[in-house]
Amino acid sequence: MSDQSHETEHHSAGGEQDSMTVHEENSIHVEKWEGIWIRIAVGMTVVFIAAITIAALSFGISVPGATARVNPATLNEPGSPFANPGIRELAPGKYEVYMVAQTWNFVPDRLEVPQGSEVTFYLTSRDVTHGIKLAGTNVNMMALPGQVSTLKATFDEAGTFNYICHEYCGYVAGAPIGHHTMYGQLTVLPADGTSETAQVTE
Amino acid sequence: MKREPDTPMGTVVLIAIFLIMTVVLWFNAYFIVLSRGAN
Repeated sequence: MSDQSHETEHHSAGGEQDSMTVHEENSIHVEKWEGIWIRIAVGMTVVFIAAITIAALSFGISVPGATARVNPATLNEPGSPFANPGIRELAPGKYEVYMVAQTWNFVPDRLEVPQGSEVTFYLTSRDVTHGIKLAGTNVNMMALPGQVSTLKATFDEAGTFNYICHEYCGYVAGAPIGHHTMYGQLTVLPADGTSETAQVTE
Repeated sequence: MKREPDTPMGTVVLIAIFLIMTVVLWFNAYFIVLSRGAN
């Protein structure tokens, strides 16, 4: 028997009061504080999603994308953009960096660009899963074998920025090498040619 | 007669602190990312 017919039966047999009792039994009772908590949680979720949408659409903040596939076994072969990893100047103020992450270093592990440069990073892994985090910037992406991750960044402030592997990738037992020694450094040279303004970012 | 349970004010205060911390820390990280510019 459906709820509707059940309710009608009660209404016709016992009057209005019975009908109300059935209504209360079928409805979900939400405590006052529970209701407040649900409303706040839903409101926060809506605000957070709206903020992320605004950041993506109005400020161009986005997560790094996978642009291409590459065979990790043939990275060194002629024709592969990763055969000679490093930095290349495409135009004044525009650079591209092809970088290989491998146990346990980045190639290249030293980069220099002038202040104000726009740099596009192309990153892949030769072996296991790695990651890169350029401290003090939004450059933060995964390095996966078989995938080319890409991300664009503009460096308006002169200084020295360390980059590290942020995905645990193992170590050699008893040897001082491993995930914790996998790092590099990007130097943003001041536009006026001096180096006094350079600062180290941990 | 059924007695309404007391509101656990200690729990409400803890949840309020948790909510405020969540919002403050979330927007702190959000504005740091925005200040570093687009990618």
